Amino acid sequence: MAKKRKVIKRVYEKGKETTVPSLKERSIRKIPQTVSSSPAHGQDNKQTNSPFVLEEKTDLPLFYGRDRLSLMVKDSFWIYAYWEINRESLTSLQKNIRDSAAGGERLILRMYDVTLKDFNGHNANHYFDIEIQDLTGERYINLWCDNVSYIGDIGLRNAEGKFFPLVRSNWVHTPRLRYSDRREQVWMKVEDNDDISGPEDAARSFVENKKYEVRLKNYPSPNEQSPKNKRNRFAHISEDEVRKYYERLNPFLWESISSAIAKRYAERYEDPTARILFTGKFSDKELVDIFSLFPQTFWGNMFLHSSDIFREGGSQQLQKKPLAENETSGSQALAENPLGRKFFFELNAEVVIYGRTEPDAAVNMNGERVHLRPDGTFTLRFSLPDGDSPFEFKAESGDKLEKREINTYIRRRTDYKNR
Amino acid sequence: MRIALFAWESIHSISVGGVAFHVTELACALERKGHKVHVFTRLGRPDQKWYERIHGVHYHFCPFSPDLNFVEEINNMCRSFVDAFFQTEEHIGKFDIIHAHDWLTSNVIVWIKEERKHKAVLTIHSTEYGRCGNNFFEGNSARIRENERIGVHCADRVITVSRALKNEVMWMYGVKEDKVSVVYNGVNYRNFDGWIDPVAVRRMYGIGAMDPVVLFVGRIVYQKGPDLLIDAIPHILKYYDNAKFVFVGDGEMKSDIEDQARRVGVSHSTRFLGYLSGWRLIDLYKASDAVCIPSRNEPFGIVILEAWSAGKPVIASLNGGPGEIIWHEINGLKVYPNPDSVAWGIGTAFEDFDYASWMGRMGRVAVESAFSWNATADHVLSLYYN
Repeated sequence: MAKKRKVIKRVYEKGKETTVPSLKERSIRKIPQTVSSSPAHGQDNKQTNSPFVLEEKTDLPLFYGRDRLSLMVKDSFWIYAYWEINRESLTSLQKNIRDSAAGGERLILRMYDVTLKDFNGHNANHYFDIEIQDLTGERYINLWCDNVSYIGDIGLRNAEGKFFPLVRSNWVHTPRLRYSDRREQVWMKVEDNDDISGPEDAARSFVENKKYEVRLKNYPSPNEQSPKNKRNRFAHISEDEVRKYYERLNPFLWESISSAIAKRYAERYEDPTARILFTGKFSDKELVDIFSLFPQTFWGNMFLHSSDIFREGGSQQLQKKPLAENETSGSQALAENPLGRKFFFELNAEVVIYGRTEPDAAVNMNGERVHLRPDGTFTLRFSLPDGDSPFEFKAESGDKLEKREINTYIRRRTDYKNR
Repeated sequence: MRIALFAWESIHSISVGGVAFHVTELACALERKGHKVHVFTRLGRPDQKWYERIHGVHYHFCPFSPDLNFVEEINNMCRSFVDAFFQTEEHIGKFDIIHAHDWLTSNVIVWIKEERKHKAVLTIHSTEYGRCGNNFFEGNSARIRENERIGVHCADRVITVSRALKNEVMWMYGVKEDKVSVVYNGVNYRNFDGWIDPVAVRRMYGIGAMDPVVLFVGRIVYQKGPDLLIDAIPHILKYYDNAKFVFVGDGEMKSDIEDQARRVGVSHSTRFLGYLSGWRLIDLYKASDAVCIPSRNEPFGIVILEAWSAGKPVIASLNGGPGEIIWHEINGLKVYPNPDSVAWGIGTAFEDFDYASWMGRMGRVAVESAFSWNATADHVLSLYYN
């Protein structure tokens, strides 16, 4: 025979929870059966016949004897709050703060707006206070905007405005009034990546990756620490990782060079070189090579800010010790002339090529069509860099029966002395 | 492209806060990229010329009549800007973009749009709610909020300086998310290159050679939380009795803060220098050990970038912009905006100076990687084009 379970009932007396054996449990369960036989309701036949009417014996108690604050959402702009404060805990709090406080404490309900916050008691967006009188009570609280999160505190606020919380509520979020503001399409970027790894793989590779175990060069290793009470702060991170992390904040970083914004830029400028550059992906070294090919003004317009190229920046300088007299600092080294004078000497060359043919003939230079004047002459002018410059001209007569070809090579050499 | 920038401050007239640097540097960067930039700002001195071309940028300094009510005075300024704008447009032709900064000039784009069709961009550097220390006040503050709301809805595109500010604007004024974009501020970190003698700088302000120095840079107002730093000082003096706290900046709370320092009993370790800029400020950055930004609400915090450029770690509250750009324990410490937490941050930086200077170096790396005015201008330009 199974042991009969002892029926107990929890009661709260003087703020303490105790259990007593319940005697009336059985009789309470019988209440629905005795409803119809109640003489008080016998006069009204309609109510008596209804099976849902219960005798009003289940009065809720006025006090449970504990501190509690509960928030419930009514709609987008209303929150319902109900609470109970034990008088003993209130007096003990008053006793505790009496020494330091200025007096004049009022019982208030403080509502914190914690929308989009990991609330820790200090970082609420804002809060407002409602003065309350009753130790047990309820209230509808009106808000001025929808789609917000709230947490409430009940406590004492003294004349100086300092707040001593007593009990904290649950967290509620009011619903949105309208449809969401977010309607833009967000497409996932899928890249054909071979080493897609699950979470387990990532964990394993983290352990295997020796990079994370290497300590910073600039920072002394734990063995070199002199005093014992000094706390060791490890930073398992290198300068490059910091750089990578922050380059993500930059909208025009190298990795997103083929991004939509950059492409739009290129199309707008209608620069063929830019378009070639944006359609392909390049390694850093290749980019530097390409970088050196184009005139500085182009890069000035596009990416004047480029930390990768000017990588040896001031952070390296800051690590150095103060400069000796015969050394120059970084900013001085940037200046063109070490003597600080304005004398300069530059030299450049251009080449002019001219020719003559039938006015209706077609002339191509290095595969590009050359514009002819009405009398059949043409003139071309180029800047002449150092090295070999081939010019291959092909002419075709107007009736396409005859073809001629002239190739000319120009070589330029420049010697610098006392530069 | 012909661009009109409206701002109530610039380096060349009256400079109060971050907007001056933002506008002046943005105008220069846009000019470098080959655009015609006209800046409309208020007159700095009565004897200043009304038009000047500085570094290629056209500056229109507009006079206006003062008023006892601040909002009315700003509206007068806006009327003056609109007048100057129309006159300029009749003289040189139509502008492609009008770009206003903050609520102070938001009425300009509203009024110009009433008259002529223009593409308008509004940059929000901070909100009135944030400037009041995250409170909704009545009176003029409510009027200013209304100005912000109208400006934000009237502009074709809104720029905020951090994601936190973007959320704030979307939350308060009900703007659609795709209308608001985030463009970070920049800094000319090359200005901070070179080496100075920190001892000489410290001696100039009556600070000992080996004293740990914390620098506070910013307007001395409730929003920036200088009172939090003052309250934190006793905790730090307990362990570092020679620590010094330098306050740079002016504001309505300055005398209150000095009083508070005397009341707490730490006035011997504080220095109030008033507004500083240029090489004096840069020297101070270099001579300090850490820079503290205990703001209650900080939209971006150019001070962080300046501190990093000088290779100093920052101790900043995690509200708003600093929470986004600082990497905790790598190039700065994020703290809560209360005195105990600020004291913890400063104490942590003082505890291990090698570690603190390493954090400063990492800050310099961060600045070099991501923050420059050219990048800012590039980003703003891409917004102009779409």
